[in-house]
Amino acid sequence: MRALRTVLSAAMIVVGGVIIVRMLPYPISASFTGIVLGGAMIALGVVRLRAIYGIRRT
Amino acid sequence: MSERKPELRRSVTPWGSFSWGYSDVGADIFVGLGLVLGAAAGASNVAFLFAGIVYVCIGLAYTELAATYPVAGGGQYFVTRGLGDFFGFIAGWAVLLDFTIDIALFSWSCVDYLSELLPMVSSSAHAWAHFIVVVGLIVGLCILNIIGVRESTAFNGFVSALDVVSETAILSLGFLFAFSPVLLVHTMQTSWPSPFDLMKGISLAIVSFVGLESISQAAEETQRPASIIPRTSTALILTILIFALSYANLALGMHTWHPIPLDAHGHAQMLWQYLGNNDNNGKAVALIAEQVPYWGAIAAFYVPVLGAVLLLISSNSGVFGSSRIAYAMASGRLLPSLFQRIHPRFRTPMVSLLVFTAVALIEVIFAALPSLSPAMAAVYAKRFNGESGIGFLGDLYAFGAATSYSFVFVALVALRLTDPLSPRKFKIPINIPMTFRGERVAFPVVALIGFIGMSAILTFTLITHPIGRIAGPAWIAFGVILYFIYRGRKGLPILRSRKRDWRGEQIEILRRAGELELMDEYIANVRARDERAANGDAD
Repeated sequence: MRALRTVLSAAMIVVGGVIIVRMLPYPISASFTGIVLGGAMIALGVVRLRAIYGIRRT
Repeated sequence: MSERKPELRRSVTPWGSFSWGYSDVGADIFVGLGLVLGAAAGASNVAFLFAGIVYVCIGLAYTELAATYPVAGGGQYFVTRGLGDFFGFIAGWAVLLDFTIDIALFSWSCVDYLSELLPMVSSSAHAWAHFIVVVGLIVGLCILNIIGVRESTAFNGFVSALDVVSETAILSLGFLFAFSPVLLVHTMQTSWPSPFDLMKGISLAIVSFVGLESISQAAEETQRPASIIPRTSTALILTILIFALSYANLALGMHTWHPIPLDAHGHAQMLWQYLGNNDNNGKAVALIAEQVPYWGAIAAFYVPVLGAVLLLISSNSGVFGSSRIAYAMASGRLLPSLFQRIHPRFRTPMVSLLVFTAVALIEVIFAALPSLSPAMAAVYAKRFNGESGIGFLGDLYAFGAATSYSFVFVALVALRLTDPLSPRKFKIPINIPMTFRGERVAFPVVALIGFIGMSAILTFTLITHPIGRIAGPAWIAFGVILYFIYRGRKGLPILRSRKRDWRGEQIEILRRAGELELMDEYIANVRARDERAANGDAD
């Protein structure tokens, strides 16, 4: 279960990155929503990974 | 022996806490998508983006406040504590407006989604049947809440899990097989709205992000909320933001699987026009799901049901939440004790439930009038730009949300300055360290950005919504008059606050939450400050 959750969170980070890269060449109004969407996916992936492995700020 | 107040059982797990919020906020996109597409057209994704950024700010503010003060009162409690009784009342009263619209809007949209499978309750073809079913649902929810029946956390968790999987599948397959960035850019360039419509779209987009009160309600029933709530609500905020932005971009840039029906005048229409028109804006997510390649064939059957269930849960949270907020406000002497009166047998706040359900029913009647009577349709067309149905309800919803959220931002700043001793296990990022009345405090920059954004949304609401700018302020004015009369009669300060022992209350809150380390830290902070003050006086 932990491995599956790790894979899903990592996939989310990868997909977020792909969205950002894919939307960058387009005009700012379209690319900016893509950047925020991709950024939110990366952030969620990181939050999930930190929760799964209990990583906290010291 | 001293009598202790009854406490809620703290048995909600991290997933339970997430799903509690998700079943409330997650339903919003089912209503918001069609409304925003209808108003903001080719800039719907930009509208969602603007509202989404403000929503992330308010979500983080709620997370910090709910983790620091884990009580069910939500926005009105934070504002009362930060800004005093009068502003606490206004924030609570605005939240109550939102909860009543929550009941009306989500019941209305629930029937819209059901009409996808049961055309005999369609709002456009069978207005009276639709109206009767909506009223029946609201009355039914009120009765269930008076009896004390509520969906379980396990049921919330099951529906939320199903919805997260379903929406992920719809969006993934949509983006993988049907999305075209070129079409997205083309739609944005050819269907960009006027500034007025964009402002209207932004103010409606906030409808997709309402329901954060559930974070503080979950905090009251979660064990060790200061540790759990930041984790679950950050995931909740990001999930909702991702879904909203994804749907908006997909609706503008998706090649449809089936041909889109012609509009009422026999003209071809784009997907966003089809989803945003008056006949379909109440069930936009079900219609977009149908257009996703392959999965759409299955989604056409289950998404309307899933949407209807989620919307019904959200509507129920409005019935439950309004009674709970009114009860909390009456306990804080912001509303008459009448709202605390409980049913002798079922032990539920019967008066609050009946009063706010009645308000929701009145809102439904006003929303339905144009479709029920051609004469009223003419009046609405002349006076209110023809707004009716969920457009009418969304209009009021945006006003209530923007008002109460604006106050929460100010309350967050006020509490950072006036209550630096309460331990904050979660703090909004980006803070400016400063000294205030001799104490080291951290000024939250994100709260300031969020307040500016929310004030802009409130301004857009007042400019673009003819009903919101009349009925919204009228609701607040009516509440303020009631408040003055009540406080005057009871001999309580009207514009000032009652004296309350916030220190003692904070210790009790942390004790009940099981946050004993934080409670010790708070007591140590208070002692250290008292000693510093005593030494200062002695010097």
